[in-house]
Amino acid sequence: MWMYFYLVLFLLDGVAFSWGDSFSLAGTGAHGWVDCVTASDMCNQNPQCSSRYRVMRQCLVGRERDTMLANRECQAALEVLLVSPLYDCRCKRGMKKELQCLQSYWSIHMGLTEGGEFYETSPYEPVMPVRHPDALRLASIISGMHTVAPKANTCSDPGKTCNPCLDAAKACNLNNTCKKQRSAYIATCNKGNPCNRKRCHKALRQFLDRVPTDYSHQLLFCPCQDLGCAERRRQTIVPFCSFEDKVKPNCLELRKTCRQDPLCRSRLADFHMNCMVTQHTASSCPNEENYRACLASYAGLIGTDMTPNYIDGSYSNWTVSPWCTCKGSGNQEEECESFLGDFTENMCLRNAIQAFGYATDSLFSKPEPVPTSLSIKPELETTGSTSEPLSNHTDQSNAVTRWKGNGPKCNLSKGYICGDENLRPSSGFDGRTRPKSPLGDGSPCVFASVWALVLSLTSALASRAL
Amino acid sequence: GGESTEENDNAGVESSGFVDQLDIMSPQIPTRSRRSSNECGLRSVLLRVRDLDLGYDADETILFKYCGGECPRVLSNHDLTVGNLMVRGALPDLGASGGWQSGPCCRPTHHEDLAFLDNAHHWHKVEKLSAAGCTCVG
Repeated sequence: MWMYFYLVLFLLDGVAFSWGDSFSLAGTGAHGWVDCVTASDMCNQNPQCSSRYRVMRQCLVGRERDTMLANRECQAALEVLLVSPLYDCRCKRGMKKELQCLQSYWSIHMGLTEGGEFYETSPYEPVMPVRHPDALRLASIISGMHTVAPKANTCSDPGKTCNPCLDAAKACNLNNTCKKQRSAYIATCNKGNPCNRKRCHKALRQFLDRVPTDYSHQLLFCPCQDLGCAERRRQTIVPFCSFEDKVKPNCLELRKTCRQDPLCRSRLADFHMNCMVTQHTASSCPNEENYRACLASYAGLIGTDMTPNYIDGSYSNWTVSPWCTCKGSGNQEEECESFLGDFTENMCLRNAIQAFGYATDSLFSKPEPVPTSLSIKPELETTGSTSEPLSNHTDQSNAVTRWKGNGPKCNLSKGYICGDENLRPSSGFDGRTRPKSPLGDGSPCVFASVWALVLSLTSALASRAL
Repeated sequence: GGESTEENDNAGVESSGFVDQLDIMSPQIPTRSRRSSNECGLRSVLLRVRDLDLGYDADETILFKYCGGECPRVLSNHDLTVGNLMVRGALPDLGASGGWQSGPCCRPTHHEDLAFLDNAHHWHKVEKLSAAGCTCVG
């Protein structure tokens, strides 16, 4: 089969010139490729190509690929298409008809590859080495990271609490586009019980498409020095809706599902291409000049079936992974582990994320004047038993909503008031009292306020019973 | 008075360097649009969510926008008449302080929602928190 394939290619090399006249390559531009939507249009305008394309599309619909290719007509159609611009077409990231382009690409390439390959070629345009203005060369970052002892606190002022993920949220909130898109996906992913995963995914993809990577990558890849920061980072994509699920499928099954969707398939192929662990480079990334390409393709997976996320709350030794497991792989366990390892043990991805963190730190290392009027923040953002002051606070406007917590369970034993998770706000903003925030002044929970509330509640209940 | 939209104001605000993500400004000092000194317009102040006094234990910093400034006092015949009648005491249900606004006032035209993660890592959404445009109404 493959011998035939190569022979065909060899023979048709010479035939390639004849197509040059029939197709106007006006759309190629400097890079020499057309996008698949344009290529389809060009093919449809050419009578020879369009008939073959139609034949091939019919060949691929539904039937077994191997039996299809045994059909001589289908093979002939395939031969013809191999030399058309359709073969070399690619898709531009974020282009207008991206999904259509990707569908075209896979309809052609489905006929060409065996299918079930470990790595597939990415339909996206190859990333050019970009001289980013303030990005250091990855190799020097990596060597710096390994030779010099890591700073204990990578933030500028060792005395102050440092939370790069909070800084990233601030940066996003101060940019109109980022703020709007962020509020939009957060709202979508928190709506309903259970939430609508599909809509959440769509909203996430929209966020990542429309917001400049300076902001979105800062939110996704902020470097963390403590648990609070790491938990915030983990929460970025609203994982209880977009990531976690009741069932953890087998990774190879998940890959199969992903490959049935042209978008997920493309993004997965792109991730494999840009984050492929390479032997001869210092960073282990294939493209040293542009490690951000790996980050961008990783981010491209978010909002697809293969959405990856940080899977633990660890800040120093974090791991990213899609929501899948290698249990029940049978005799494909090695393949499964290898696939999963491309996420969990990928040196290129790890180095790229760490390098991004270093670059971010240099951006934020400007000393910040601390306004004296601000109350002092608690030293560490603990993920433990913090309470929600809303419970002892008569409520405000109709629209203040609180979602079911997805964080750690509130620990009543420490005397904290745990927020009422089914809090339904009443109308009107009258008679608000300033809440006693247990952490507000840096002191632990105020027992007196707890007892006062308990007493008032019991007296209210007693008076009702009477 | 004119309607100042958020786009216009951000242009003015951003070019003054206010929305530079690397600066923290004191939350007490609001900014003004660069147009004229006290015209009705969108203003903003940099604050942490906890400082909004809504009861959240959240340290995310946001740009809270509000409407402020003076509206040109174009009094209609109605305004003039109500004023006259009040002076004469002919409108007893409008007390001494009035409960009555003479002239237009600077109010938001539409609002924006905000979503954030609090310190316990729970997501929240506050609808219609910030103003997104101002106009003189009435």
